[in-house]
Amino acid sequence: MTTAPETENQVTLVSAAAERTDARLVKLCRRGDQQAWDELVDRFQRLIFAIPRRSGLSEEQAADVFQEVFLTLFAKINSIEQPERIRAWLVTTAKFKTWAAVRNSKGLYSPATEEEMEAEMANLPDAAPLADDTLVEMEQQHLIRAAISELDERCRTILSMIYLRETSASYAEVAEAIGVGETSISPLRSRCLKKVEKKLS
Amino acid sequence: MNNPKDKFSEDMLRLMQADDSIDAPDQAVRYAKNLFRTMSSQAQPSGLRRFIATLTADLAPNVAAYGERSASGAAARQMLFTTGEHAIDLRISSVENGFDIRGQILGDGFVNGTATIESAGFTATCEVDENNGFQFSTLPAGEFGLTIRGSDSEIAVDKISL
Repeated sequence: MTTAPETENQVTLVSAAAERTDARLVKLCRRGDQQAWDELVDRFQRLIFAIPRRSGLSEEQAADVFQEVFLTLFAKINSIEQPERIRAWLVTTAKFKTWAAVRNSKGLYSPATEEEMEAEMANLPDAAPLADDTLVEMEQQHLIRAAISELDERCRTILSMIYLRETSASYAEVAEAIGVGETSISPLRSRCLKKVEKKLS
Repeated sequence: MNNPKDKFSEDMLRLMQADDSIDAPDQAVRYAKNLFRTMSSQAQPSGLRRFIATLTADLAPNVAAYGERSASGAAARQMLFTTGEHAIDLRISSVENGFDIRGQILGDGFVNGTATIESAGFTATCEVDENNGFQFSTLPAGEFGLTIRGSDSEIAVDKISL
């Protein structure tokens, strides 16, 4: 089960189904399945790219971190002990590589090991962009996106247009997109949200 | 005070609305995907035993098999492929948009393995389940090769016509 720490301001979203899917994909990758690897990349690309971006790295630097994370994943995929926890492994690796890139861009020494990196980070006055709370929130947003991607097309469209766009679509726009009357959108939206909640609670 | 369910809903909405993540650049995603394609081809598992299975029975629906007194009433075509240590039982059904295939491997060493079916321009892969079963849905018509890969061996069926 997912065990993200719960804070006063934050609920814990869990998704055993997501972990089962993650574990299945890792096992298939270990057997050389290109399709499973592609799906794994698609599944986590946003989350992994968001970590260096949130830390202030440029798009180009973030893309480098992204590629290094997947290169490391490929190199270590056979030795990851808990395939169902691949999300946490990817986030930790992205955090490690992001911090190395930040230090490198400032001309500072980059610790060579994860342990050394963690010790360095603990001494920082402000590691806010990569703080655990921020990363947990990003993981939870990833779980919500994954849950929405498993919904039927109509619910995916409704929730994506209303909640996942930079500028939220109006009910009229959503109604036009899915071909129903505008008054139907509010109850449909509620039903779709319930489906997401069910997947994550 | 909010009840936990309301708080859950509110927090979930807050997380959704605060989600400002964007897709990674196409080029970076392509690099990550190609990584596997390129590097896997350089590091094939060593010592993998490969068997070619041959067709030993092909029972079409509503057609009597040799030695049967009447035609089979089954809706699916059934094919049996065998190799030295293993056999593969395939059931092929015609569906609205193509063909479904359900298969089962008779023999050990393939649970959690993969089954891959491919033709020119088409590939599909699925996992072999705990009962040695696998299935593909809505395959297009054509000629396919099937490869089942297990822990230390793989079985290939060179030609399946749908």
